[in-house]
Amino acid sequence: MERMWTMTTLATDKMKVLARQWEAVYRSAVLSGIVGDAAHMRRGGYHVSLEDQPGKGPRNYSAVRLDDAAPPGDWSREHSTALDESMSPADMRLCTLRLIAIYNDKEDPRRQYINAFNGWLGSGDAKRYDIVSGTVIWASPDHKSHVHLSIRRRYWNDSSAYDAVYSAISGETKAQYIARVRGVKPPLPSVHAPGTRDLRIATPRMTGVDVRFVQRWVRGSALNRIKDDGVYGPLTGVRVAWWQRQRGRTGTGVVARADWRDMGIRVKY
Amino acid sequence: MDYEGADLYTGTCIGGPMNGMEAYSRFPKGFLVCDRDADRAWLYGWDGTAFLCTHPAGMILLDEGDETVNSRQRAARESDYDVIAAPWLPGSDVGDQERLDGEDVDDDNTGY
Repeated sequence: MERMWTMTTLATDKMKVLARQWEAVYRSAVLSGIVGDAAHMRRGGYHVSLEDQPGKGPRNYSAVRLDDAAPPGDWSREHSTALDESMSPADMRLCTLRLIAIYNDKEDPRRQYINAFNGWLGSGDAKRYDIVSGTVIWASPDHKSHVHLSIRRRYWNDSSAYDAVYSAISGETKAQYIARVRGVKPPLPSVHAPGTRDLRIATPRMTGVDVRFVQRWVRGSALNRIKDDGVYGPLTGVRVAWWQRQRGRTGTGVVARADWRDMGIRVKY
Repeated sequence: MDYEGADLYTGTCIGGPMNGMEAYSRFPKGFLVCDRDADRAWLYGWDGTAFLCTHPAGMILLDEGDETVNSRQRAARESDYDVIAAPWLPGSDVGDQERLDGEDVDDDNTGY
């Protein structure tokens, strides 16, 4: 009898927010996939829920590790925990380097949430960096155009896990991350990270990485987009106010704590 | 071990901004290449040997809304076309305190 696939795999809202954050960090990034297609269903993996893993033979590699298997774990059997983000070679290299820094540092607490990632440094083969096993192996060449990252299934809906991944891809250092999650004042960055202050039209103009993040988040479409120049000017303020009204709030044009939280950013001030 | 390795469609691009470039698609109909700086996208269809650009002038890249109005979001969720970023775009900004020394990979266990 031909098997009928009943695809139950779902994407978490947190993963969708992470995808948008990724696109706000990297100017070239575009979402390339969260939930696996029929071909993924046949192979299994972290784009596929535990419920949809293939076959009844040997269990799929994404369903056997301590932080993946359920049962005995009691986490979701319906959600994928992987994300593919395509980027230009320049951004692939930057993102892969940031993730490798975490792979290399056995003391980095962000490692506890990540299962593995596939990336490319701009030359040679793409590689898979398995944080759980501590191995690096060849990855198929499509990973020269997208980073694949899988979160351990245990953390499928854990805000801390998604925050850790965002921290990693945005280039936050281990020291900054540890200080932030422990609630102590982090080492002062030379640029303002998202979620570290309110943003408003001011004189002189507010500038920084956080402004650029917001500009990319509310950027609009081809016909009405704003520049992502990292300067909080009137057009940015108007665009932010429009975005706030779209979310049912008063359009103040000031990016405050609630707005950062809506963008999936932990507030740090 | 099998892991996230896809069945790939590999070939040369013909026409459009990727003319002459080698490309990969994980999906049978080809890929959509998106240039977020220029707000344009190009569709490359797989003909069994190569990727043919369907509209060399490209299309406006809709970047808002869900998959009902946004072709790239829809393509990313369906299994016909791959979605890739424009390879010609420059890199993103890096914090000036950030050290990027990850090329020194601790890969004693590299398993080629």
